[in-house]
Amino acid sequence: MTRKRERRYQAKALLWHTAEGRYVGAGEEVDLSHLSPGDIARLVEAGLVEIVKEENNGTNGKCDLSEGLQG
Amino acid sequence: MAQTANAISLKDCKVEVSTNGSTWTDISGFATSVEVGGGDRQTAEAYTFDGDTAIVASGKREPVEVTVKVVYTEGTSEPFETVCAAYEAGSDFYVRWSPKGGQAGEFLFTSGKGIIKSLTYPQGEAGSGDPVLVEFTLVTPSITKSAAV
Repeated sequence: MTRKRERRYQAKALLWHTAEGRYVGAGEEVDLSHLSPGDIARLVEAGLVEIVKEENNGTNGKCDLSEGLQG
Repeated sequence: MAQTANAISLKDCKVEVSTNGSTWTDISGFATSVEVGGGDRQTAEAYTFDGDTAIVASGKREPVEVTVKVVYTEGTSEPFETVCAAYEAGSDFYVRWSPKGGQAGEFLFTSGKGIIKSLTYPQGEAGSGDPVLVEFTLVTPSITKSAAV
């Protein structure tokens, strides 16, 4: 069974996180799982958050287990 | 530049108060107005014999005063009682408001830790049918703008 990877977001301005009851400063990662996709899209469009770019390790998201199966 | 189509009124404004800056109580159903004053940056000037205009320098910002008018009610957890308790104790108090209502992406303006400088007690005239309003003024070092998420 494959599990969809959650997108990660980073604040671009000072945010008040209503679910966590705390400020999130610009540059900090922010959990937006309590918001709808539409709300998140508006936040991105407004320049308040941005998607954290995942580092590509060349596996295209697939986990290579072959090493663990050898020997 | 084209005329904006994004002007708002305060009809959906959300007003909240807190005694600790982290747990907030929505008093939008009681609050009737928010006024903000003060916060000017101190400036000074000097003139020299040379030139025709002043040398202007900047100093610190003065405190901000936030005045909130609320409907007077007598419930123990309602705004008048909460504010009155903080006023009489001289204890910490916070106010924040969101002009558009504080939904995701909308701005919040949050006071720093402040002190309630003044509170009006219920007053009025016998012939008036107006709901009784009271107001309090919070003095705070600054206001922080953030976006709700």
